[in-house]
Amino acid sequence: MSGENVFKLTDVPIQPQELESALEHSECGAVVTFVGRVRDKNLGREVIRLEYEGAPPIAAFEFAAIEADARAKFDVMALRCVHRTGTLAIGDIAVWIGVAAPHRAAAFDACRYLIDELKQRLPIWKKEHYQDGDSGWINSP
Amino acid sequence: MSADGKRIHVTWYASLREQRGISDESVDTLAGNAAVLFEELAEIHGVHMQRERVRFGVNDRIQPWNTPLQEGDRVAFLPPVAGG
Repeated sequence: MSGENVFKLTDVPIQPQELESALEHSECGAVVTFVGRVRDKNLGREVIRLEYEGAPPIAAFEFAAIEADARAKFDVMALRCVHRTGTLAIGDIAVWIGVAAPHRAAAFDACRYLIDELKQRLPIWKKEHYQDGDSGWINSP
Repeated sequence: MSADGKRIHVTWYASLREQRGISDESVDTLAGNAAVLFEELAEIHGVHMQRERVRFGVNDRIQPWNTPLQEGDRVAFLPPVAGG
C-alpha cells in the first residue's frame, strides 16, 4: 500500500479502525493519529450539537495541496485525513488524521502539520447549536 | 448584455448562504472579478461580510480576489473557514 493516501470529506460516521489498519506498512516504524471530537462547551457556552458544511469540489483541490505540501516537508509513507460533514453529536469524531512514517519524528510533525493546515485552509464551516436554543457559525457571524 | 457582460454560476456557502437565502444562482453581470461580483450581489441582497474576509473559488479552485471572470465561470463565495 506504499503511498496510499485518503483525503476526503464524508457525511457518514468516521471508522478509525478501518482507517488505521490501512496505515500498516513494513517500512514504517511509526504511526501517529489525531482524533478531533465534538466537545460540549465552547467559549463558555453549552454546545448540544454541531453542523459541518463543506465545499466538496474546492476541498478536493485544497486537500491535494495540503497533502503535497506535507509530502514535500516530511519523510512519510502514508497519509490519511478525513473530515465529517453534516450533523454531529457531542463526542462524535469530526476529523481523523493518520500518518505512517519510517521514524516517529516525521510522523508526529506531519500529523501536527496536517491538522494545523486543515484548520487554516480546508473550505469547511462549523455551526454550533447551544443549550439555550441559539446557534452560530464559528469565525463568521 | 454588452460585450463585457457574462453569465456566472454563483454558489454561496455557510453563513453567506444563510444570509443570501439560497445556495446557488446564475447571474448576468458586468463584474470583472469575483470580489466585485461579491460586492454587487451583497449590496443587492443585504449580505453583510467585508470583502476582505471572503475567499473566492473560481471553477472549483481557490483564487485571488482579482482573478478575471469569464463567461460561464463557476464562482464560490467562501466565508472564513472553521474546520477541525
